[in-house]
Amino acid sequence: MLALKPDQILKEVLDFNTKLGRGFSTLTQVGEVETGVSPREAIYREDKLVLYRYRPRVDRPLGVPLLIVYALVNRPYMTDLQEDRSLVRGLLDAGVDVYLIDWGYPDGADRYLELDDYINGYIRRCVDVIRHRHELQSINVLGICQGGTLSLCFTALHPERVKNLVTMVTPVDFHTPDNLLGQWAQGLDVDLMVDTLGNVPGELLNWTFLSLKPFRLTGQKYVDMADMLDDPGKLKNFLRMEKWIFDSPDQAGETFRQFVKYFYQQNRLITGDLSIGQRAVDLAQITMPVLNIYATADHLVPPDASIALERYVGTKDYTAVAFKSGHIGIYVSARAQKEIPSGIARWLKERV
Amino acid sequence: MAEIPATPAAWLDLWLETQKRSMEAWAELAKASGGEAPSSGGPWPDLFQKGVDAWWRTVTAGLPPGTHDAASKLMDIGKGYWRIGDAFNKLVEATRAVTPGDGDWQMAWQEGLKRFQESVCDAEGQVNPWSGFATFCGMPLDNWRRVVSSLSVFPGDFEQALRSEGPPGPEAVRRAMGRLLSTPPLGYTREWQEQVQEWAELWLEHGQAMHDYQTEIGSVGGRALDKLGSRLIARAQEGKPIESLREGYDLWIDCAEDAYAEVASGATFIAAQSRLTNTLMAVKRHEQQLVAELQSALNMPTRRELNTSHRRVQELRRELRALEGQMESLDLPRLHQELDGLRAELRALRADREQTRAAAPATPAAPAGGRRRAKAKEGG
Repeated sequence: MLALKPDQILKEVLDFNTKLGRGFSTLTQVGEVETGVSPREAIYREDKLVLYRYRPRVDRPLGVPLLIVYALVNRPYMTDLQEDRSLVRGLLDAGVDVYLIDWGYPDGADRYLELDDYINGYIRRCVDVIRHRHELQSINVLGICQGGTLSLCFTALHPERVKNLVTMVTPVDFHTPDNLLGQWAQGLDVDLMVDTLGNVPGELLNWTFLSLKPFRLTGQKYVDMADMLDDPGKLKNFLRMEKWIFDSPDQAGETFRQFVKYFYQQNRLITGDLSIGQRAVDLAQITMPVLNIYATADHLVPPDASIALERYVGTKDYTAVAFKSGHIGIYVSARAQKEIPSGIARWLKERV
Repeated sequence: MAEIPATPAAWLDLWLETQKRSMEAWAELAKASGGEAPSSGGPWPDLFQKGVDAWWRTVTAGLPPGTHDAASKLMDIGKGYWRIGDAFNKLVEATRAVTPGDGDWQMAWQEGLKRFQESVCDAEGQVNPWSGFATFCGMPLDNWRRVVSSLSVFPGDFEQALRSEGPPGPEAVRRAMGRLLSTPPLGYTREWQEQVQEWAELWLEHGQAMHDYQTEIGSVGGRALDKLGSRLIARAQEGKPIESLREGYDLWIDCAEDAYAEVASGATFIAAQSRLTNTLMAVKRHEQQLVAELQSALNMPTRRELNTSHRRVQELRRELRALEGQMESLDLPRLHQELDGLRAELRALRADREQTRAAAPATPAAPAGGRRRAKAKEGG
């Protein structure tokens, strides 16, 4: 039945523990784990937000710049993790002029920020700063994950400011049957949570995300790590990713309340009942070209949650791209480095 | 007693020595049982864990600052993998001479799986929520415990403080709270006592929610085990038996995740998990109210007052942004341009008037009385 023998099992266990022991020495020598590698300059600041422009890597970048709107729940350096794992760098190499919003770490004074403040406030002003710098009526926007949902709302409310919209691993329909987060959110008393906690701690969100696949994410992953412990380079990559996973900012309380209620619990983005800043959000207003990239093995944003977008936008120029990976692999896998940035750049160039 | 290692290299040597001693001890046991593997329930995992725990106590003081967490994590991983090794060892032992379809193979197989389960979970499949990473089934609950600790107003790990009350579960919390709840509120502090008792009741509710969640998590183990059994048999029948512990471990994780996915999307689990979070929030909310009362009594600012200030500031900022927006919509540059034009026109008119005045011939001023007369005449 099993081709295993006790002495073999023991040897494997001891070998494994020896690796861990040796790995401790490597761990003490790894040094600082840096993230965010591409040169950039801050061109606008407001509260905790910083708008960065990355230094172009071609002489004549695309005339219409691209603004990356990342999620609020993790740090945006995932898009520029290291030199050979960087969506930003890939876009720069492909000739795109890249801007990015870094939301910072909200604290108690930010508790009353609402979706309106993020979408009609921060994002709009960042877009306007870029528009004025480049003397353009509209720019390209790339929304990632939750940032994609915010970008959809922004674009629906301010279509005149967006020339082309790209969404990556973006939830649109929050009630698809395979959306475990969506199911879990139904019984959550989010009012009690926000009234109690104010800002929602990153630890709580981490617990939720890890709970989606607890055995793989809190057990197997570290067993896999043991195989990298004798390679400082690989170990550093692992630790970089580990740093990102647990570098979760607290969430501004009122925004979290609204996001959970409006999207996860009530699915308003597609029911047509969503208003932000007393203005109705109608996805049919999105009539500019849309590129929607989703990951086929995404456990956080299941493919169906993203694919739904096509049914609700008003554009006639809609492209969906299925990428074989998980939620994280779409930024950092070797194949993603080759295909995703160049694909986005090509799509944009055809439409500028 | 071993000396405290001063360098990572010395740390490693001591670690390897511990491994070696564990292996030798295990080999002795194997010899004693006639070359067979030590029997299930034997000292295999204990031997390792006790050795490592003793070693850990010895070396902790000698580790470089800031490395304790990493070393502790590595050791937990090592313990967890050891436990999996023990589980597979028991499974191998129970099913060594068994071929599907032969005699009582199913009974032997079930016995092997039962022993496997005892190793990865606690006895009879019960999950110990305080067992942490070192036990397989403890992982999801260990995550939650960390969240609870991070949200608690109590320093350190509140649940850990209750461990002396006995086995984990709502009973431990109930025992701890029982004394508090059994005291009748009396005298001037009666209201305060009632609030503290209410807090205790909320903790009990959370304890019950924890128990329900724990039960749900516990059901994952059984399902995962069924899947593991089916897949191992299927692989054996396909002529692809598990050939390494690592292969077995990965298969076990696959089975556990599949089982968890089934349980975690069920209505009972979702309700239990929601209740776990909601009851914790209720506890914390009540704690905040208790703390706020103390702060008020000491004339210190409370969270509620801060919230009021923050909300007002945010509302003012929104009003300011709205006014800025209105000003933008007024098209101020155009108005400024128009104003500049009007000013220029006014300047031109004034200059024109001055020129006209300057060009007009000088006329003697009429006597004041004469002017008045002339006006009176015009008016009739």
